[in-house]
Parts: sequence; structure tokens; C-alpha cells
Amino acid sequence: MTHWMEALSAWLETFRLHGEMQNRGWIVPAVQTVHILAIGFVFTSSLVLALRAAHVSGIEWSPAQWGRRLNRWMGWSLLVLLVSGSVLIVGEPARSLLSPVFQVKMVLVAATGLLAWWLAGRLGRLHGPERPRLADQGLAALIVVGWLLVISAGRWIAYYTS
Amino acid sequence: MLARFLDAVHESAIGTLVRENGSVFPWLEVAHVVAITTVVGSIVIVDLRLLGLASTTYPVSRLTKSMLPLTWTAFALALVTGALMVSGQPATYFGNFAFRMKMLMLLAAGMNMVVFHLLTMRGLPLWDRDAPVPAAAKAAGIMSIFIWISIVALGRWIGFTMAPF
Repeated sequence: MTHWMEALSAWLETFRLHGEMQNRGWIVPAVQTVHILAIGFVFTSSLVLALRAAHVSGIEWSPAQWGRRLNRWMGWSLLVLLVSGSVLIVGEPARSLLSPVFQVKMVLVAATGLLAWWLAGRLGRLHGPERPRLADQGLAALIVVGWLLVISAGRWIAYYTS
Repeated sequence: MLARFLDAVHESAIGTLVRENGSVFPWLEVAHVVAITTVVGSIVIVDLRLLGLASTTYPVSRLTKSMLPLTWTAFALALVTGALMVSGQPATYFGNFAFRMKMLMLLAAGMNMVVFHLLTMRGLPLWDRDAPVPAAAKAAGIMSIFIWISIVALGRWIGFTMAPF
């Protein structure tokens, strides 16, 4: 696994984009800004859905209506997150790919994204003003925690030293 | 006067802890990023409603009422964590151009919000639901999106123009 990652990292360092990102100091903070905004939109959307699931706020709309409003928004934000994240990996492949914190972050992104997709299907069936079942409330809260861990891991990549 | 205050903050127990403990600053940064992105995310949901681009069947008054507690709680957390991050080396932050611009943009965000709530929202019952949003409210929405994206960008720029601790 490590050899494979090292080979991938070395290959990415041959990319022209990698050289550009190393030489032009503004590219990394600019792409990081896009990356942070994207995770912000994903996180806030999950938080709003969790608060609606718990019947705390946004009760003028059914869970299905909130889902229709936020799911596509979350999907596009996730796409931006993946593209900007890939660009950041090309910029500094060794620091990201070889870091265990980064690897944990990728697992968390995949797991939380799948849970969010599952919840979207469940909430999409709730067209009335009722409070979602406890299982759905718990799932929504778990997704919020998942994105919190993703954000935490993202910041800790910068500080982790093996 | 300001220099003496910044020096006192720098020498305080909290300032010393943030500066000298290797894990305090990263955790403060995590909390700050979570808070600021929640502020931006919740504000943009309302801004897009003002611009007529999303949530158009949701009354503006109810949407702001739903989002404001989230926005203010996150803003309070951003303020506290931001102040703690600065306490480690306050003079360096105050000397940083990106930091000063970020503070200026926060002021602009506050002014935009005050004008929106005190003036533009006066006529809210006329356009709260099923009616076009007036140009002043749309302008406030565009300004807000621009200002908050700038705040995130400047925050990132601070990280690239000075060492965290």
C-alpha cells in the first residue's frame, strides 16, 4: 500500500500542474478556499437536515421538501470538494497521500457520503409535517458528526508529522 | 495603548498556552473552520432565497427565523475561537494585511446586515411569500455572499502569510 502510494505520489509530482502550484504561491490558498467553502456547504446542509429531522427548526417544510432543496446542493458541493481536493493532492502529493490522517479522511468522506445518500432516500419519502423516526434522526446526527470528523482530519493533515 | 494591550494578551496565560502547546492551535483552527463555514453556509441559504434562486416557496421571515439561531451560535463560536487563535501572537496578526482586511470585511458584513434588518426588512410583509424580492434585498444578498466568501479567502490567506505559532 505504502509503495503504491509512494509511486503514485512520485508520478503526480511529474505533472505540470504540480510545478505550477509549487511556483505560484496563490494557487494553493485559492483552491483551499474553494475546498473549505464546499465542505462548509455540505456540512451546513447536513446540519439543517439534522435539525429538521429532530423537529428543531425548518418545520414549515417537510423533510422531503428540505431534501429536494439541499440534496442537489450537497451533491454539487461534494463534486467541487472532490475536484478541489484532487487538485490539492497534485499540488502536494507526498504530504497528503502518505499521511495516515489523509487516508482516514478519505475513508470518512466515503462513509459519510454514503450515509448522506442513504438518508436522502429515507427523508425523501416523508412528505408530511411529522417528525421523522428516531432512527432517521440518529442517522442525520451521525452524518453531522461524520462531516465534523472530515473537517477535523482536513485541518490536521497540515499539522501531522509522523 | 494598542501595543501595550497586545503585549498583555501575548503574555497572558491563554496566549502562552496557544503559542506553546502544539495541539491547542490546530484544535482551535478546526473549531474556527467549522464555525465560519456554518456561518457562511447558513447565510448563503438565506441569500439564495433573497436572490430568488432557491427555497422560493419558503417565506423569507420563516427561513431567516429558522437559520438565524444557527448563524449566531456559529458566529459566536467563530469569534471566541478566532480571538483565542490571535491571542498567541496578537501583534503579528494585527500587523498582517490579510488579517486587517478580514476584520474590515467582518465590519462590512455587520453593516450590510444592520441595513438589511433595519431598512430593507421593513417592507417584508409585502414580499415575504409569493412575490418578487425587491432590488435592495437582492443587493444585500449579493453583497453578503461576496463578503463572506472574501472572509473565508482572507482567513486562508492569513495561514499562508504567517506561521501559526
